Amino acid sequence: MDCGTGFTKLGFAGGAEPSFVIPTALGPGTAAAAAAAGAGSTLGYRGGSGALLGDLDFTIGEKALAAAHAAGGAGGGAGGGLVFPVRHGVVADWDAMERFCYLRVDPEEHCVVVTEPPLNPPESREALAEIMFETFNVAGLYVGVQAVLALYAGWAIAGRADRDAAKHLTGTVVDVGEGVAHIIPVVDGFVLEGAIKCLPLAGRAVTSFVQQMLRERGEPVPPEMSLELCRRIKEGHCYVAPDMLREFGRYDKDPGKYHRTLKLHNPRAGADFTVELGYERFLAPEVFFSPGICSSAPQGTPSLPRAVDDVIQACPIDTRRALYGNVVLSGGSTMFKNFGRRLAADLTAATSRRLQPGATAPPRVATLVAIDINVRSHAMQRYAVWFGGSLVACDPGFGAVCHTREQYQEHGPSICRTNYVFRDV
Amino acid sequence: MAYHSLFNDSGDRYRLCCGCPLIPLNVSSAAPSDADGTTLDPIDEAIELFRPNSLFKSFDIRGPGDKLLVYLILFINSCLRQRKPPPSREEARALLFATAHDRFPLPGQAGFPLGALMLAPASREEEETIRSYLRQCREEAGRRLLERLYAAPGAAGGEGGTAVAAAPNRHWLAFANRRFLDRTI
Repeated sequence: MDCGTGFTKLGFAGGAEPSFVIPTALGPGTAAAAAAAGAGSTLGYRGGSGALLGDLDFTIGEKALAAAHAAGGAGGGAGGGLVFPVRHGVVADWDAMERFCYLRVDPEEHCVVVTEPPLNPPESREALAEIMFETFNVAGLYVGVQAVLALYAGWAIAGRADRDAAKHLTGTVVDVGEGVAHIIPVVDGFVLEGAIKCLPLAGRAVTSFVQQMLRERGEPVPPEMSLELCRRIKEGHCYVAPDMLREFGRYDKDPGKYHRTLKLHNPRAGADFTVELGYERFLAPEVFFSPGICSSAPQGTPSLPRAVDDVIQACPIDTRRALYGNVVLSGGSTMFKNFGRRLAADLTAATSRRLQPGATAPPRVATLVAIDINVRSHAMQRYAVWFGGSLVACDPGFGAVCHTREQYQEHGPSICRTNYVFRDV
Repeated sequence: MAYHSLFNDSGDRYRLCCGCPLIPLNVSSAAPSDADGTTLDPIDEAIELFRPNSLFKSFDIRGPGDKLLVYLILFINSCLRQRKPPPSREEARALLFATAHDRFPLPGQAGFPLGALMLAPASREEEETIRSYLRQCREEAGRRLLERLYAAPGAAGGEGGTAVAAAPNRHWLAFANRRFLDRTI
């Protein structure tokens, strides 16, 4: 289980896709029946606050809890009393977290892979271990850093030729989810924490941009459907353009090709309405590359390629080429068409701008090798972290690094502070 | 990052008046799709860059060309804002003409939107020059804006008045609500 700001991905090891993708929120809801137990159940936690109705089964105590803790976080769901156990990637409310993972799976026979966000305090890890072992009595626990798992997924999917060439578990993970975007450099399986960067640009910012544009144009969108509709538009119709100005020109020349009309039905009023889509198709994902257009981003927020560049420059100089060479995308918000290409293009522009003065240096200086930038996008991008966790659990070396219940009972939760990343795969 | 004017670098070529370059306008060509660099004039540039630049919250002035660009963008914004009930093309034309020739504040006077960015005119003739130039710019901008707003969908620019839409382009009007740099003319 990989808890994110928007969604929690639950599933079993060996699976290609998570069995369930559930919005990360607590609230009164219907039961989500878990599938039959697999060989090793993989449950991972990750911090994140949700914004939609959860449909997990809860007891009546849950409802009371939810009502009592009706906290902040972007609401918008029709159900009242939503609780958001996680905020900005860190679990804020452990009590709520506990209830959240009551699934109909018998945890006692399984090992659990938990994912944690970058910069997670070790106390958080210990608390997690406590919950897992005491409350759920799992057989084993492994806490994996999300970035490393994403890299693992990317590496595993890469072809045979790439496998030997690519530095194992070295790369820059660009993880753009619903709430926040992280850029995390990883070298040989270790996260360089000092260089991690967080940007407030993520899925939610894109959705609200779409919403704002539709509102400005006066589209007849009923307010209760607004958020949901904008999300659907974002996922279905938005793409990344290579250049904003030229894209406007293209829209002018051939409006029939680019403007789209959606015919939708409003279930509450029972009426049909049509919505026209225009510039927001490419402007909304543009917030990643030109944050000036987004009103919620604070002044001076760097664009995503710029931030990646800064992160890599903050890393030790001998690792930089490897980091540029393996930029791995993960997270739902990287699924926009052409996202990887645009990121690579902008990164290349930034690095070549920096190398430019050196090109005219006298020839006795070492010859300049252009930096090879590879942005890897792959089929499992959306659930890359979950998939990485799934692979890790299937790995034969997993048993050695997983913390078992016996170890926990003997030493206590502090054993979960360290989790080895194995490399002999 | 906002898009800046192309005329910033060629500041020496044009006579500066109150900090504003007096770039000759293409009065003869009415085709906004003219992408040729040599014949691109500041009005076309302002219309092209109006939409992307309106989205940005901040804009740094990099040269005299940018000052004119900002002024024109603000003017285009004010034109769009007048269309509360979207009028027909004829009404719009009359309205825009009136706006362009309306009394507008000159640099240095109270109410000039660019504040201290443009210097006050030093002499009487400079004042006359800047006034006539700005008026010409406003009129041209209004006219070309009209073409863009009322172009029928599918008509690839330059087609004159054969295919005209009844109502102005909604996607353009949406930008009326945005305040560029929080200023209005």
